[in-house]
Amino acid sequence: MAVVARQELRDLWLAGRGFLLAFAFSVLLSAITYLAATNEALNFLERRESVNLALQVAVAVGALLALLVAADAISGERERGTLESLLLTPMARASLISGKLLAALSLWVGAMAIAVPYVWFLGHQVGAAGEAILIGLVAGTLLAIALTAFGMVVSTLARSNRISLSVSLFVLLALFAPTQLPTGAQQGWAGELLLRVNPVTATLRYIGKVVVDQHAWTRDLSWLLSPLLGAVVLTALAVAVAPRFITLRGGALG
Amino acid sequence: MKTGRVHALAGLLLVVSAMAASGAARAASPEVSMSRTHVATSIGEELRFTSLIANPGSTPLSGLVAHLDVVSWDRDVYVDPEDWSSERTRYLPPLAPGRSIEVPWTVKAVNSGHLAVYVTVLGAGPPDTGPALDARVASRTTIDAGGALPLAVGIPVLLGIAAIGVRRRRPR
Amino acid sequence: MTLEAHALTKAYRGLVAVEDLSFTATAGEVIGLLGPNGAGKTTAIRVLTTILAPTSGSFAVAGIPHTRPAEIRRRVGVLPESAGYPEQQTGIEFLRYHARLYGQAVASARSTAAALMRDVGLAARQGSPISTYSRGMRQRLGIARALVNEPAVVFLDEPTLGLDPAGQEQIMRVIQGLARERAATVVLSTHLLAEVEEVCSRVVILNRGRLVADGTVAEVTQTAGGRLSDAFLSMTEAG
Repeated sequence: MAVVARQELRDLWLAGRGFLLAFAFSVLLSAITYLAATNEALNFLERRESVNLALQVAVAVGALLALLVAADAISGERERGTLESLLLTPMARASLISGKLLAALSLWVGAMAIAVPYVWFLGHQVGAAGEAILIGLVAGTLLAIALTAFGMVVSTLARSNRISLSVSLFVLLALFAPTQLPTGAQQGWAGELLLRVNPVTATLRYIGKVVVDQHAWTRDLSWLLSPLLGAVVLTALAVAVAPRFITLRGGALG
Repeated sequence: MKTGRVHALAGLLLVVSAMAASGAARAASPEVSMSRTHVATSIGEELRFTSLIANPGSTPLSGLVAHLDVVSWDRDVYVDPEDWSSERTRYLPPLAPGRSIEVPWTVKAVNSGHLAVYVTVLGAGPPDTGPALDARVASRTTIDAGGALPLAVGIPVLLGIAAIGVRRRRPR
Repeated sequence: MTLEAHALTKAYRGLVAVEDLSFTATAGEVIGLLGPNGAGKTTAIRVLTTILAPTSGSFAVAGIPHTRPAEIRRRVGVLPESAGYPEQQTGIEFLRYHARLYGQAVASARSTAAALMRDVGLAARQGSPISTYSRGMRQRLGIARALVNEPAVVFLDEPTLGLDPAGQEQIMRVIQGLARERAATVVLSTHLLAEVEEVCSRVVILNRGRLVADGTVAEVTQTAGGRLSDAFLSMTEAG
């Protein structure tokens, strides 16, 4: 696993793709931060909301980047014709998946590292920066692990890379969709259940409660149940079950 | 015939006096007063105060709704009351004649400047608005806008250089 | 015996790709695996190299039964048909990585990779990205990768595919060196009968998944007037 992870990290970051993605991500955060900072009309509460916005963008985009890399992990090797030579080695398939999973997660780690100065800048004078960064790291990491493992499972089963990326993106968009529901629809037991069961909305809601509403971080821990379960279950699927389905052709999906 | 006219006139008088009497027994408007009239604080601090809602009339008042609002005396300052408090509407129990009820409020001062916080009570009669709490909220510099530019430009530039450097480092 | 196959069958989705295949090979032999397109050559190689599980039958590589695929993978080297390469890696980086995947330590992997690049004539380009390699260079890199674990049996599936005559000649010389200098068994799947006559000590001919001939070049061509191409055509057309 370590050998695979090391090579995958080299291919991702030293071949240049990782830094390009990081650059694009930083441009996005720069735009948000600059607009928030120079808007004198923003009141005190909206400063915390600016911190929350930057953090949620970091979590969402960081997890998205990790998901996309994972979605390419096995199906991409298959399409590029490089999978067979990997399967011919005595390395366990679970090690192959684990190594690629770790490399994909490095994009999440990179995204959070880039987000730290932005969040600190927006939040340090309203006393929100330190807690926001910590909460974003903990909650966001659970979500990133869940999504990355999901992408890996899809990549293993997909017949083609196009299918793998399409399915992964579609599911991610579907998970983000409830955040756009009107406030009224998000209330009530059904609305709250939907938000809690969905690891994306649950994570973002938890972050908002701590950063904006200034709840103690222990008060709303139940919101992290679905991202935690997602991380555990999907990682187990990716590492323990999916390896049996790594074939030259793929095809359970598509 | 003359007797009939007298009876009709008496009936009319009876109706008019009954109307006058019922007018006299109609519900009075609730009266609103505040526990504080002035406050000076800083942005981000919580303000706590109580409004006292009384029934000065002789009949019970029911269906009362107390609603809090915030406005800035400075026309250039936009105030969204929802930012100050997300619980601005209270549904009150019936108020017996001569009784009063205290309604506590907690708001967060998210705008700076000279502002007025007031409570309006709606019921069966015309709404009553109590005296405004005169709030002077001092500002605090929360962000150095000028410091945003080096950050917003610097980090992408650094990462862009890293991306180019890594690509150039690869042998051709 | 470095390679033994007994009644090997592979069927999927109703199609029998390889049926009842049996043959053996010893160290230093170069076996030419021949057959028309769709004869089952690549499937047979994939079964023997544990990429695919056999439907029935058995095989052993260097005495290791097919029920221990990870151990077999340690003892075989494979150049797959139409193998892809990670474009952003350099040639030597690719070999080092695969040497590490076979369990070699960092220093050992480094020296193995450098030696193999010299052996296949790519030392001058070892630091260049694979994206800059020609087809012939990629094939040589693939052969080097197949040798990274010093295999007992080397499977080369169409190693000269897409190469010009000079490139083909180069590859064939490398293949001859494998059997001679490393005492490896080489299973060479190819359409180029001239190559087979030149380098192979035995030929195994498949047609529609079944074995139709197994012997030395002389034995196989005896019945067809001495030309391997005639023997090949007669055995595969009739099927």
